[in-house]
Amino acid sequence: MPNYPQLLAGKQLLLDELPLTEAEISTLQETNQLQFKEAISKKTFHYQCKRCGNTKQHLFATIPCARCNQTHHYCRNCITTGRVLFCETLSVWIGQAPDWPHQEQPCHWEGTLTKAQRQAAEKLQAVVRAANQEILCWAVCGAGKTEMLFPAITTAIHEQMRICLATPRADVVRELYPRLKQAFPHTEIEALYGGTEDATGIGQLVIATTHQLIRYSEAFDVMIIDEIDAFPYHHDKTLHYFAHKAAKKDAANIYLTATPRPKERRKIEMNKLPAVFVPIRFHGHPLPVPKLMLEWNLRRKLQNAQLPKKLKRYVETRTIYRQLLIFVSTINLLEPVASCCRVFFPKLETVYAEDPDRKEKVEAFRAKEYDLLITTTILERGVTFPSIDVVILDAGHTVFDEAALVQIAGRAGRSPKDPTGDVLFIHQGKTEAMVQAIRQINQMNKKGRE
Amino acid sequence: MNICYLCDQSIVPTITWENFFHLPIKQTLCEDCKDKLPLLISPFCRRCGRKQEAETLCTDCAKWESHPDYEDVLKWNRAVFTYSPFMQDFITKWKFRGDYIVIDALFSYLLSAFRHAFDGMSHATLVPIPLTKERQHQRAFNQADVLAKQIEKRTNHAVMPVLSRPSVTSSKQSKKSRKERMETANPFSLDQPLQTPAILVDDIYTTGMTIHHAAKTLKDGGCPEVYSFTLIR
Ligand SMILES: [Zn+2]
Ligand SMILES: [Zn+2]
Ligand SMILES: [Zn+2]
Repeated sequence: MPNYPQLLAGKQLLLDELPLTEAEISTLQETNQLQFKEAISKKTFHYQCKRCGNTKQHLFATIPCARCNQTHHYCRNCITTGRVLFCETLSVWIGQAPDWPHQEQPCHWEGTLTKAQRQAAEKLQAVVRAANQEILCWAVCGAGKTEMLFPAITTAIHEQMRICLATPRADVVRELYPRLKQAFPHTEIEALYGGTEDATGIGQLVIATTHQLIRYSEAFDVMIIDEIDAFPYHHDKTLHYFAHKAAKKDAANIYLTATPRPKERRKIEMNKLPAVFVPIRFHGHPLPVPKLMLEWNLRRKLQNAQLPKKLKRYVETRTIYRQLLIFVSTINLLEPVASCCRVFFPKLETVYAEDPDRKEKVEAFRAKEYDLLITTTILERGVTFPSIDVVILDAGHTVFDEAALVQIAGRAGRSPKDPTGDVLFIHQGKTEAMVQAIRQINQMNKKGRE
Repeated sequence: MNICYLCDQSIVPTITWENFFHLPIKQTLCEDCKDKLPLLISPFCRRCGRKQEAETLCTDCAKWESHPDYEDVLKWNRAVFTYSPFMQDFITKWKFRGDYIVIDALFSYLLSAFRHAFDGMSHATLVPIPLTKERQHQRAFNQADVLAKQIEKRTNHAVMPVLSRPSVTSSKQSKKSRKERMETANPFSLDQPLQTPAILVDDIYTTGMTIHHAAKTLKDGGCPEVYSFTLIR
């Protein structure tokens, strides 16, 4: 017999999604363990989707339904995670709470944390122990935040809690899954992102893109949200709703970021959000501080595929050999910039979000198969290359806000073997975002020396 | 608020002479998506309507024409769009994810292509390709029905759902490999013979197998001529 509490507790599933036979469903209903509630509620003419929380009436459409032979609403807002029809129901588990196996020593990671990592890790651990608390972990790019989570996760598993690690992007889920499996080999771990069909449904530790949390409700004792400042989480209220709904009412909430938004920073300053800082990278070296370089008529030059003087001089006078990563503001600048850089870099590549070869190009750059990669902001976070210099062309463009600039600067100096790197902001007029980004980096470096 | 049914971006209403004087019709398709629609224009295979260099018979159709069982079951097929990544995304959204409403954005294209192809044939009956009961329940709509009913609404053609598609459950069927079943067994049965010419309606003409099976079922039941019309070829 399957472990029903592990399989069903904390989930809101459509009938099609229930991993049960009809006989099992009726048995569970008769024994008061499983209930069903309406999937879309209607109050006079106001509809709400109980799965995604949508109340925007223009995101409900009508369908002449072949199941119930009535014309009724369905929710368009959450269509990618399984259509919700008005005539459907969502499962609610009302049986026993899941009983996660007891583990005396769940963590098998053999590395050691740096002093800064350890201090932060202990605070996160305390939040897990206390429950019903939240904390923001402000760790610079390259601080080694995954390892920093291990003590908190260890405590949670030891206390037989259920844990969720939510991140904005599927590639991060894919990257974290094997690392966590290695660190916690005896814990049931699930990785959920669009397109995973081998989800076991019984994970004690769930690593998921935030979208996938739509199927959970009051499931997790510990909710860790990675990169709270990143797109799409930062922009999408629905995702906040998912994360909130998936956590238990008294859950421990941990937020991770390298570049908190002003809203979070204000909360920290006003002591409304407990925070812990990790101002230093795991290899102990400070963050590279960006250099500002003014170039007249920069935008016109870029559009005309004219090599900016500052970039030319920089490339000609570079002495240390590193790969070069150049950021541009928009896709249509990729080609002009590529064409004027070919004199110096006969082998180069360009990459953007919808590039069909994106993965291969990034892999090849990491394998040092070529020396220059020109990219849009898609490589601003998440990716690490061991030894690169970074240049932003037109750093004053609106796509480069403070968070983006700090993240981009954080691409340099990631490896202990080459812990520094040049970061150049080439611009045609200094912006507030540039000034603030440099200030933020300097502040963190100062904190790191303390 | 007006949002594009296909890409979800909000639509800035364009003022034209048409809607300047009339009430603006609700726009459901943005300009970017309009540009991406792969309208199927001639030349194409004169039989199946596939886009190609000349109005000759394509190689697939040459095979159908020389097949003893299928040589004269289908007069010809016409389609609105060619198959492209954009249309693939559309089908995923509409049919597989079940976002029923999105087809609204393509109705005007559907109707003008239909009128162009079947001009002067108003005596022909529209026959949607049916789904099995299970599939129809899961999807909550039959995409071919939706297309046929929309044409019925705006033309003089009537819809007659005379075909059905029994579920594949018999033990004899399941012993064969999936491939064998696809190639040999005709999945359709005729509920009511049709004496008028018929236009089969479906969302996609890919290999033509489905359309030819349905056409043969109609012909065997006495239907004089069978044509077909699909959204995509
Ligand atoms: Zn919804
Ligand atoms: Zn219904
Ligand atoms: Zn043909």
